[in-house]
Parts: sequence; C-alpha cells; structure tokens
Amino acid sequence: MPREFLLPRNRGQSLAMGVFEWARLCRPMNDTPMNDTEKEMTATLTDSGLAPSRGFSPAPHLRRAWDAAESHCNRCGFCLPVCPTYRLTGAESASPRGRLDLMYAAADGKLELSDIAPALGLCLGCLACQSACPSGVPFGELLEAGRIDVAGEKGPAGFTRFLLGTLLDSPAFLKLAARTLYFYQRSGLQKLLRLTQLLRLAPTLARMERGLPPLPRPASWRGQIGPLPAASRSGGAKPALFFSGCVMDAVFGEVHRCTLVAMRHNGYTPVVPNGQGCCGALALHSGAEALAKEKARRNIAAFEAAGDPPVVVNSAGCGAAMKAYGGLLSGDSAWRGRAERFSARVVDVSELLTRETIRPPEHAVPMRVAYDDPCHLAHAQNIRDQPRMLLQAVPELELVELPEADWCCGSAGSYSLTHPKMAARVLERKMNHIAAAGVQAVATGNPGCLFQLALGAEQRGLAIRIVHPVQLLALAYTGREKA
Amino acid sequence: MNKSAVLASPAESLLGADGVHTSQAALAQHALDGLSPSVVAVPDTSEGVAEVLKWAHKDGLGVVVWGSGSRIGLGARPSRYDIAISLSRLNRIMEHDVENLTLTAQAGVTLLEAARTTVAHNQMLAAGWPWSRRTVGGLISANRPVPKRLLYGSVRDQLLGIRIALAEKGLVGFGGKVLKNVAGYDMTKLVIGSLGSLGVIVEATFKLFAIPHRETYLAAALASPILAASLATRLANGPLRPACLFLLSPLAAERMAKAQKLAGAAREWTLVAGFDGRSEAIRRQIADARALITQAGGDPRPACDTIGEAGGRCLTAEEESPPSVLRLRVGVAPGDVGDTLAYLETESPGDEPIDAVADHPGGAITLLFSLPEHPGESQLTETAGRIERIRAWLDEHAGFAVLEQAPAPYKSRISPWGRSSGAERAMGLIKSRLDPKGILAPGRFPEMNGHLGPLS
Amino acid sequence: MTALQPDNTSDPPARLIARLEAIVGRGNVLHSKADRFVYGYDASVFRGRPAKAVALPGSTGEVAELVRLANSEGLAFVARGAGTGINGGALPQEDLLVIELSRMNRILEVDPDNRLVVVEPGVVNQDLKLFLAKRGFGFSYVPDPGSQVVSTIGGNVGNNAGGMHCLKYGVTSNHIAGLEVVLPGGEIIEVGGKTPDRPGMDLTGFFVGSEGTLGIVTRIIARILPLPEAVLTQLALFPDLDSAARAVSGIMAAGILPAALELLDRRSMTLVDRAVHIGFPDAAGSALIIELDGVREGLEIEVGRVREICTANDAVEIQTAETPEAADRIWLARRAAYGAMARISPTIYIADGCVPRNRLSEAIGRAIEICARKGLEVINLAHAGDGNLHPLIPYDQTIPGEKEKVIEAARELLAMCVEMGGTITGEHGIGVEKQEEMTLLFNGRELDAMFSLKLAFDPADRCNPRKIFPVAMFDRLQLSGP
Repeated sequence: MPREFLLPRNRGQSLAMGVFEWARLCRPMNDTPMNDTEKEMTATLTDSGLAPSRGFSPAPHLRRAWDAAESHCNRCGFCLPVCPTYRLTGAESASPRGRLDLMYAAADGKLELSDIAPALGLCLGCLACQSACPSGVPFGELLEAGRIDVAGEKGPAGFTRFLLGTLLDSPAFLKLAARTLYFYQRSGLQKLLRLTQLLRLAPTLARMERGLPPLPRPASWRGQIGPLPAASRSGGAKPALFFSGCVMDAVFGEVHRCTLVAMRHNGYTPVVPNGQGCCGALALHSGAEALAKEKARRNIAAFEAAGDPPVVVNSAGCGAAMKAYGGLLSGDSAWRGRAERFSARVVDVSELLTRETIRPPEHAVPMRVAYDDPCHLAHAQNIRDQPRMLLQAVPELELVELPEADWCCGSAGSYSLTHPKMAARVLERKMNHIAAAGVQAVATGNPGCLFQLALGAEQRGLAIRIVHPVQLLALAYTGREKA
Repeated sequence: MNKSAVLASPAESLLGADGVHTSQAALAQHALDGLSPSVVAVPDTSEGVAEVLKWAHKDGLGVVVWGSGSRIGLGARPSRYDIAISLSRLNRIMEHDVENLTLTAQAGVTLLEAARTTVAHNQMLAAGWPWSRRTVGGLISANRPVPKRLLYGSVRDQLLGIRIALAEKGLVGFGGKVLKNVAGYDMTKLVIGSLGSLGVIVEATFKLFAIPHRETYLAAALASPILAASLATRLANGPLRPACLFLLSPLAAERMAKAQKLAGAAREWTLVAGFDGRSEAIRRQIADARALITQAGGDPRPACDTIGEAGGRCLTAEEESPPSVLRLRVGVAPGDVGDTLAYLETESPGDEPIDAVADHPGGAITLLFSLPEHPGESQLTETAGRIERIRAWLDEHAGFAVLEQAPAPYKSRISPWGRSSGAERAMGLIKSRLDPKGILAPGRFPEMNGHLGPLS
Repeated sequence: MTALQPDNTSDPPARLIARLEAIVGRGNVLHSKADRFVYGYDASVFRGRPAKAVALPGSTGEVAELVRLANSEGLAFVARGAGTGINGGALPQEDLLVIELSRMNRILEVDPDNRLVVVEPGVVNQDLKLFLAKRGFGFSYVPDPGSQVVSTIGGNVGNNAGGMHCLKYGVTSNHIAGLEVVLPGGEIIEVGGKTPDRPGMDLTGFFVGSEGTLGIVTRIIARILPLPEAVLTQLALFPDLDSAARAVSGIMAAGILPAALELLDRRSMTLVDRAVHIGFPDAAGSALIIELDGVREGLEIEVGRVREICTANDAVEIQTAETPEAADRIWLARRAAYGAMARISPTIYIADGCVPRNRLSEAIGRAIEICARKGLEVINLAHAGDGNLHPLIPYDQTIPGEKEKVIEAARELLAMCVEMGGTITGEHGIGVEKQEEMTLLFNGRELDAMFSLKLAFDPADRCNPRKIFPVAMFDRLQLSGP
C-alpha cells in the first residue's frame, strides 16, 4: 500500500491552547518567497532532475524518500491547475512541481535547505497535486521528509516542541483552553476587546485574535449517546473502536457524540480504548519526526490492546496520519509490522457507515447543504463519495455540489499565522463559492476545515452553519440536536 | 538603344530566346497603371525564375510577377518596372499524392488544371472554384477569399508548403506535405497576401479534400442587408454546417438571376447558402435553413444542386469587370457585414442601388462602381470623397477598403491601400531582409516601403 | 543535448530588482535563489540556467516596459506560460529575465457573432473551454494539446500546438485570427484582427509558432466554433499496425474526414489496460479511435462506412459509443496512455515526428526497431490522420548513459521522418531539443533566410535567445557582433 501521509495543515487546535504565548514565536513570512542575497548560486546543471545518489546528502530524509519513491516528477505540470498557491501567485516555486524540484536540488546539495524552506512553508499540504499527478509522485511523503530536514536534526525547538508534545497530549489543558476561549467569545469579552481596539498595541496578537474561529459550545460526549435504536438491538452488534483524538475531543464533543449515535444506529457498538492520544500529524507537519513516532507507537499499543475491530476516525487529518503509520515506522523493525496492521484497520466514519447500506433515518432535515471535501479525505485518502452518501441518506436534505469542492480552504492554525495573506486568499476563494451556493449549511469532516469555514462565514457575516456530515445524519436519526 | 534591347540579351542568356518576350504586344499586355515593363520573362523552370531574380537583384531591376493577372491591379503603381515575370509556363503538376490528399503544383497552374488532375480521384483543391483560370501562385499572393471557407478554411488553412525564389538567396522551400509541421518559422504564412513582394512563389503544396457527394445551394430574398446578414450569422453559428454564405445586393442578385435561375428574378437583397456533403445531411440542412429563413421573414427559393460557373462568378464577383469599373474590396468582421452593407447603401449618391456581393464568413465585400471612363474633375473629386468617407467609416469598425481595380484617372487620386494598419512596419522589416534591394513589386505597398529600418 | 554554458549566475543587483518592481509592483518580482532556480526547468528533459530575475506583468504595457528595461540593461528575456513545453523552448540559455505571463489570464471578450474570443496569453486552454461551456455559448475553442488542462493559450500560440483534432480542424495557427505582440525592441503591434484577410502578409501566421523568439504575445484573438450537434466515437481493434493504417487510408479515400483518428500500438494498449482496464482482447495488435462529428443525418451513414472499411481491413472488433459516457470510455484508452507509462517509468521521453499519412505504420515499425537496437522500450501513440507519431520512450535518468541513448534514438527517428518526406516536429516545436536537427530539414540558405528574419526583429538575440536555430549560427553572430 502506498504510504499516504499526514495532514500538515489542520492546526486549528493550536489556537485553542497557548495561543498568546505562541504568538511571540511565530514570525510571519512573506507570502511570496523571500529574497535571498547571501551567496553565489553555485548549482551547475546540464540536465533536469536529480543526479544519481552520491551517498552523502545534506538532506538525508529527502534523499531517502526520493530513493524510495517509485516514480519521479516529469515536470509535466498537471499539478499546476489544482494547486491553490500556484493558482493564486502564478509563481513556479509556489507550485508542486517547483517544490519537488527544490527538494530534489536540496537533496542533491545544489541548494541549501534554508533556500527551499520558504517554498516548503508556503505549501498548504493539501495534496491536491497528488491526486492530479499522472506519474503518482508521492508528494506528501517527500514534503514530509523535506520538512523534517528543514527543521533539522533536533526538530522544532522550545515552545513549539512543548506545544506539540505535551499540550496536545493533555486533554485537561485542551478542554480548559476550549472552554476559556468559548467563554471569551460568548461572554462579550471579545466584543469588548475588539471595540476598545486595545489589541492594536500588539499587531501579531491582533491578527491572531481576528483569525480565531468561533468555537462550538463545549460538549461532553461520553455517556451522552442515548438509548440504542431498536433496529440495531435486534440486528446484532458489530464492534468498532473509536479514535477520539486531541482537539476533536476537546472542542468538537458534539461531533463525537453524533458519530457514536450514527454508528450505533447502523449496528455498531463503539468502544473508546484507553491510552490513546493525539495522532501526531501536527508534530510531523512541523518536522518533529521523533515525537510523531512516539505518538504513533502509543496509539498502536492502545488499539492493539482493544482487539482487532476497525479503528474509526471522524477527523480527515487524523485518519490520513494514522493510515500512514505503516510508512512512518517503516524504518523501525520492531514496530513496522504492527504499524502496518494498525494502519490497515483505520477507517473514516464515512467509510465505515457506507460499507453496507446506510440505515434510513426517520427524521427529515429539510436543508440545502454543500459538502466541502477536506483535502485529507479527498486527496490523501481518496474518500470523496462516502461523505456525500451520508448526506444523501438524510431525508429531504438537498445536497449541493460546490465548485472546486476539493480545493483547500486554507485551514487555520499555523498556516494562517505564518502566511496570513495566502491563507486569507485561499479562504476567500472558497467563501466566494460557498456564498454563491445559497446553502444553509456546509458539511466537512475535519476539525481544521470546520474552524476555517466557520471563520470565513463569520468574517462574511454569512448565516451558514458549518457542520460535520455525521451531525446531520445523527440529527436525522434522533430528530433532535442535543443529547 | 532602348531599355528593352539592353535587358533582352541578359534575359535570353538566362532563359533562352523563347523565355523572353519584348514585343510591343507582350509589353503592353503586362502594362500596369500606364507603365510597361522592358522585358517579359517567361521562365519554364523554378531555377529560371531564381536566375532572373538573381540578375535583377544584382542590377537593381524592378520586378513584377504575373499569374493570371486577375488581381494584378491590386497595389500602387510600381515605382520601378523593368521585368515582368510571367509564370504561365510554370504550369506543371509536380505531384498528386492521392493517398495523402496533397497536391504539389507549380505556381502557374490554374485551379481548372488542378481540378482536372484531382477529379479523377474524386478529390479537389478547395482554395477556389474548380473552373477558375486563376493560378495557385496568384491565389496565395493575393490571399483570395476561399468561397467555401466555412467548410474548408481559407488559403492559410490549406497551404502546406511552398518553394519560393528569393532575390538574394535563390530557391528555398518551407513547410512540406504533412498536415502538421512546426519546425522553424512558418514562412508559408508570410507569403500569403505578400503580392509578390518577398519573392516569387514557384511551387506550392495544398491539402486536398474529397469531392462532396453533393452540393446544394439555397437562395432567399430578404428585406434588408441587416436581416440577410443576421440570418447568415444564425446559419453559421448553429448546428448546421454551411459551406458558404453570400449576400447579394438587389443589383447583384439580378445579375445572378440572369446568369443562373437560382436567385429567382427578384431584384432584392439575397442570401445564398451553400451546403456540401452527403445527401441525407444536405436534405436535413436545407429543411432547417428554409425554416430559419421563413422565421426571419425571408422568402426561400427552390434549392438547386449546381450554380455552375456563371453563378459562381456572380457570387465571388469574379467576372471580368470592364475597365471602366472601379472595384473596391471592403473587409470587415463577419458580424459587421450587415451594418456595413446598410451603410454603403446610404453612402450611394442619389440612392442609386449599390452593386455589392459579400462573402459573409470572410467579411469580404466587393463593391463595384460603374464610372465614366474619362471623368471630369468633379466626378473624380466626388468619387475620391466617397471612398474617403467609406474608409473613415470602416476605420471606426476595424475594417479596411482596398482598390482592386480602377480606371487610371481614379487610381491616381485614390490611395489603393487606404489607412495603415500599424503592422506595415513589421512587414517592411521582413521585406528588407528577404528582398534587401527592394526589387520585387517596388512601391506597390507604399506604407510598407516607408517603414524600412530597425524597430528598436 | 545543447551545450549549456557553465552557470555562474549571481543574485540580481538590487538596482535591477528595484527597477523591475517599479514596473510590475513589489509582489510581482521573484528573485530569491529558490525562485530563480525553478525557472531553469520546463516539461522537457533539459535544464536551463536559473533565471536572473522573474517578473510577473499584469498588462501589455508592463510587458513592453519590461522588454525596454531589459534592452536598456543589455539583458536577454524569455516569456513563459505554464512551462509545459517539451522542447526546452522556455529555458533560459543565459543569464536572463523571465517574463512569466501567468497573471495575464483574463478572458477579455467572447464575440459569438464573429465566432471569436479575445484572451490574454496566460489563460489556460482548458479554462477557456470550460468558460465557454459553462456560459452556454454553444461554441468551443477546439485546439486540444495533451497539456490542455494546464498549458496556456499563449504557450499554445508560441509553439503552434497541435492535439487530437487537427485532421479536421487544424493546428493552433488555424484558430488564431489576430495577435497583439510586444516586439523585441519594446514596440507594441497588432497583427490580424477580427476582420479576416487584412491586406499584406499573414503576420499572425508568422508569429504563431515562432516560439517566443520574435516577440511576446500579449493578447490573442482566437476562433471558436459552434458545437457539432452530434459526435460519434468508435474504437476499432486490428490484428496489427498495418491493417489499422490501411483502414486509416481507406477512411480518407472514402471521402470521410474524421474529427480525430488516434492510433495505439500493442505495447501502449497493454499498459493502458493495466492502468484503466479497458479489456482489449489479446488478438488486438493495434487500436484506432475514430471520432466523427457534424450534422447528425450524414454522420450515421459515415459511421456505417467506417465500420465497413475497418471490417474490410481485418478489424477484430469494432465498438461504437452509444452514449457520451461510452465515448469517454473509448477516449480514456488514449488519454490514459501517458499516465500509464508515467507510472511504470521514472522518466519518459516523448518523441514527436511527422510523416505522410500512408507511411505511418512503416515509421512506427522502424521506430520500434531503432529503440530495440538501443535496448530501449517504446510505446507508440499517433495522431494517425496527421501522420504524427509520438513514440514514448521510458528511461531511468539515474542510470549513466541511458538518457544519451534515448537522445540518439530520437535523432535517428527524426532523420527517418525527414527521409520519408515528413518533418522533425509535428506539434512540439524545436526549442533547444531539435535545434541541431533543423539542418536535417533545411539547407543553409533556408536557415539563413529564417535567421535573417529573427535578426530583423531582434538584432541582439535578446528575445528568447539561442533557440530554434543551430547553436553555431548564434556563435557566428557573437563573433561578428550584432
């Protein structure tokens, strides 16, 4: 199985935590790659592409990923039209083809890693290029390797490391942060602060504050599922293990509740194994490879202990990352086999529910709804039809196809902090389509996208609900929104 | 010794005695705007053409190339005119590649001769009417509108390759006989419309088409040129595939009616639509076209399967005009043909009916003025003023008007080219390299010659 | 293949950057090391130098100013679209300014009455098609090079791109009515226009296909054609290449002019089948895709005739698509070929040559022999109606000497095409790839004549320098001075 890869961009969760401290650490970069006048360009090339491996590489991860890749970039350019950053800048270095070329050059020592860092940073990591590539170049794996090399041997340092390592693994802290921010937004404090324009004193903070998506009401989900439907009681229970994650768990309790409702209405008995935690995607995205591996091992162990039913995820990013554990731990002989077996068990909730015919819900949800493909479902996992099938199962729900539905939304988190202009432009394009669609709700199955679209809707003043597809399905099963 | 005698002997040394004419009759026959050449060279090989050019280049002699002579009147009076090169003996078909549907012919081959060769294999050269005495070289040089361009394209779409004699560099060939060829610059395009100013085309390769199973023409009388033109647009822009769409003014329609029963006897604005193809497809298209005509308030006449030479001549205004006729070739965007014809009607003095035919998809209108052959000053001023007004109107519609033929007194008063399009300078640059001494068709493109020299 | 100069490009001086930014705006000049580096490639197998700087103009005026600035700095420049050319035509051969036209991507006008559109050069071919389809104009822009989803109209014009529908509809040049061009000296001219057959030479046709060496096209008036009411697609399978080629000749001889006639050889069928599961029978040695379009009535009869002709030429199976979906399925066999090949090979060389139609099968046979002699794989796709063959040669560039073998094979292939009465490129252009092969097709006087026109427009060879013509011609130029 090809090694699919992480989700680098849904870092909405990072907002839900030590946001204000982190602000100091985030230096915004120019959206167009920066000028570099350090030294002479010494690359001499008489040929395109990469020369044969010469042993030493200043970018060992890249070199390895390149050697392992079964196909290489022919520079045909079929990735250009689907790449949001290329479409918006027209710059070759902002295209997948350009990034690959730069990564090859760095692996070969023709360019410094520092030369290519801005170009890799500008990448949304949406992997639309991977879907478009006729040669099947594993862009995601190469980008991941490139980011590890750019981050250096020690990986990200200081607070970022603390954030990715410790805080994401602390459900208590995450819940506290989510509740605090929710309180800040709903209590009038936010309005007050914005009204006083106090934040103008701290521009970085102000930008981050503006980029803060409206958070859903914190909801506890464990034990809130309600009685089992009669149909599934008689049909025999199918076991399934539920992955609760970090941010989803803290912020999107309602989505979790609805996921479990939908599963139970379709004959599954979900179990939430103990000992599981953050999937590690964000760590890997930041180049913190060791940390990501550590998290992967912990999750694998936790789910092994719970037996071998499918591992159900409702976050596209986490699903993509966990389906790639096999690749992540491929160099670790003790864990490789276990990781591959684990990855093979991971399913998105929409995959699980569409394995068999979805049980028809009783209640009508007469809404006009657009589905927006999360990149890490559509491009990383090739899951496009299944979430739409969930929505189509809802009585009286009118499903609208959004133009460029599988384009990245420019999801929040560090990308919108490091590349605010680009993130805003990507979001703007998405919101133009959404505004024109005339829908009451947009459904999408990834926390970063839920944050980003909610932010976009708020900024535009659109009265559109941003939901996970399972929320509408659960509503159709139970006829009510709350447990 | 007169110039004829001086030039005859070097010419004869190149072409032999039978390749050079200096008789008064021959010289008069090749006179242009009151100027006669000193010799008429009639080479029978491509190499002969190249030799004559080399000599002319060396000695700085002015050369004008003649095909059938049907559009030789196009262009200003030559500034020098020493040698007329007639291509009448360059009349061999070099290759008819039946399987690949290509025809390579020397420049002096007429469309009629080409048709005689290709018809045996049920193929045709679609660059003009099969009965035409025009030469293939002339078609290219003058970039004649192709009657059925909607179906077969214009000259530029059908020409695959050329051999051309250049003044300095001699015989060269560009393009070839394959349909796709993007090696180097597309020099074949450059000679299209160049009126013999870059070199002498000696050979050309065209793509051929299968002769259609059937051709059918349908005429309809309409109340105004605007109605007729908008109907033409509708016919061209829908699912039907007409081969040609001509608009005839009442006067031209009457002439057509005399030549051919097609248009009926009516002296009305007339649209003629032609269809080529299989009978089944034509039947359906004629039916649809009729419905569209009726819907537009027109009066469809019975369809007919041939218009013959006489009809064709009317449609493309190819009949030999008497010397007293001034022919103005007006070009506009196809969508402006109706408005232009309506304007031209209003521009006619005393509401005299205009004599005009228009190839709608080609945006090509031929306007004929019958004028007194020996005009007085007021007549000259009036005519020149009228053409000036037409040109001013066309300027605002991105159109142009060139004088294809005019009695000498008029030609001295009216610029043959009208206003500059802005591209002449680039043309001048090209000419300056391929004909550095400016011996070919000297002075016939006045604006172009005025802009020699580097651009930057 | 061409000797690239040793590359010692330095960072552009701040003064140059400032002047460029003054023209196109601050965000539209790229000059970081990484940014300049990536303009050293296009979709060819060659590598140029990094750009000295990259400017992204937004208007004709800005292009002209950039060109004038480059001239005043003695700097060469090259215009670039999507960089999908496979002849190396957009590669910097010296330290130069790249003028990237991706921002000039507006569809300025749709003019149904004249069957024309006016577009900027950066408009992506497919985007124009989708725009016309979505707005329901009932017209289509026909040229469809394989790169159409990404390549720009400007690039298509520069290279006179072909495609699958040239047999009936012609190449890009046949669809271009007028151009606005910034000449190498910075002057803006318009050639052609909405009015057909303007007096004088066909400069539009001359600029199309000049590969950006005569100026930079900044606006394009292109033809659009009304959609045919019926399109019928057939797939015919033959025991071998010869029988398919005979069928092609038979179809043409019967007076049928298909919109497309595409040929696949056995190797490509096998690969395609593996990738997208068409289900070609083992007995099929070649496949022919025949598309007919036009007025419905005549078309059904022609489809029947095509069937008869294929049967008479030993076709083992003939399918006629009854629905658009079925037609898509047939076309998938052709469209999937490149990807199918790309997936089995790290890199691919796409050859492009043209021969008279009736010698296509012989040419393909010899192409297979040439590659076999060099120990190379080859699969063959061809625009059979045009005699345009595209042997695809997979290779691994990390194996020393492999690429050189491919290039040698390609040379032999081109020599063969010329010998058969064809040409060295049907639709991909010369660029740097085939500049030495130009001598196979043109003698010295012919090359001189064309080169003299290049110099007429661009005396110092600043506009996409050192392209199309053999390198020695440029070297001579430098010796004698412009």
